[in-house]
Amino acid sequence: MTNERKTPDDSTSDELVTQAYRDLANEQAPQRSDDAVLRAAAKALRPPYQRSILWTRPVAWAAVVAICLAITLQVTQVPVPNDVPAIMQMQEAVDYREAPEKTEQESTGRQLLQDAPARSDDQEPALRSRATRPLSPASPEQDLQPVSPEEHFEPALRDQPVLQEATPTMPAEFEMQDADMLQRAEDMVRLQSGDNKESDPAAVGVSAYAPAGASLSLEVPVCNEDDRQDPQDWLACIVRLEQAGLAEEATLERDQLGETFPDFVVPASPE
Amino acid sequence: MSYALPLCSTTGVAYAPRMEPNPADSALMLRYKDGDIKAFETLYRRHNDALYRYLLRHCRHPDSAEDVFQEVWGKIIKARETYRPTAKFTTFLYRVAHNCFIDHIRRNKRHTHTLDIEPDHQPDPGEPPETIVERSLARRRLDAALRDLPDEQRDAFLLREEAGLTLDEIAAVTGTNRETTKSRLRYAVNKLRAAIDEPAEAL
Repeated sequence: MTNERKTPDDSTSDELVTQAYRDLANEQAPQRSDDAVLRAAAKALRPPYQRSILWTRPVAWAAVVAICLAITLQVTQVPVPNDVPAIMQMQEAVDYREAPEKTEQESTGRQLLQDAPARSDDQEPALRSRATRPLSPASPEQDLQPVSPEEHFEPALRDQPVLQEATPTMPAEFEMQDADMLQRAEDMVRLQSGDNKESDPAAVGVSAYAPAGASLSLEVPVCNEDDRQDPQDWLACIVRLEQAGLAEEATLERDQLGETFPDFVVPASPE
Repeated sequence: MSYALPLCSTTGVAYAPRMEPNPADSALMLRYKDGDIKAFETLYRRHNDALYRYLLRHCRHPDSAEDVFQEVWGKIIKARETYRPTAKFTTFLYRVAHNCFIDHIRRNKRHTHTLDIEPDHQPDPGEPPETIVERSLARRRLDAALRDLPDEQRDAFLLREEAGLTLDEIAAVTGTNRETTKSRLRYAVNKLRAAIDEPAEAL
């Protein structure tokens, strides 16, 4: 070690000079320098603050990327209209009306099968046969009549509590506003499909599942033969059609009115 | 009058044969690199006083020497990450010190400080007064001669005496070849010897 002096071993050394120098130079490093150096050495071994929190950087970047992705998805997402759920609900109702027997059969059958263990054995065959029996298609006249769901069941079975439970009932919150939305959805579907409203069994289903107070408003204005007898009545019917939003049918009726009564001046459509 | 008194008889400076200390300096440095502060303390205690004297003789002022001393050790601490035991640690240490001293001179162009410190030497109680006086005069002559040496010769002499480096190692530290180093060292020793052998009346 250099603090312990060594004797040079070549010809460039002089023992007397070496001894004189060693006698002269006996200073020692100041204590404060020792402390400062050792403190700096110990400090250098400690991990710096930046290094200790180095893991937060990738986490912060990941969070930023995630937030950006979320915002991008939020912005680019197609906005869903507020009335879409109601329209979808109405579409389901229309589908329900297009195959009322099948739907009722399924719901009733499911309910019966679910409640089957709780019933007596003598009731079960009848219920099962009723639940699984395919319903005969109703006549067009019957389809046009508002039919309550209870009428699909036999009177004997109607009093059974099982059937009361299995009877699809309209929810209480299905109010007039919903009925109006149902009407609009129905009209939209009918216009898109181009079906004749008289032959559309949806009207029956709507009437069947609408509450009693809403049944009147759900009826589509129709120009019948009585209306067509008089041009004024026919025109009033046409106006009702227009007010109901059935512009296409109103136009057809208006054309028929002009052809049937050429002398009658048909006022122009407000649209 | 020839100065033939045993100058190191009362100095108390340890003398050891040339041998590699155990554990080696390089091993201590590597241990410090791995986080062992005790290894650095051991390494520091081995070299701190010699390095300080080397810088004190160069800078000729205690404060400057202390500044450069701490700067040297700061660089050693900082260099632990890249340290490779390819050379003797003492050579590495004094090469850093040599460069720091050169930088210090460049920073302080007006390097006019002089070493006015009397060596802290306590005479033996039973020593005759004339011997004490003669020893003190010899130290003054040596100190003056060392101060008058050219920087290169003083550097070579101090590296030999304080660091215990060989000619090749001194050449490596100073960036010269072996023969140049040998020549500088011979000149320095001859001048110092002449200063020691001067009669007392010369001062």
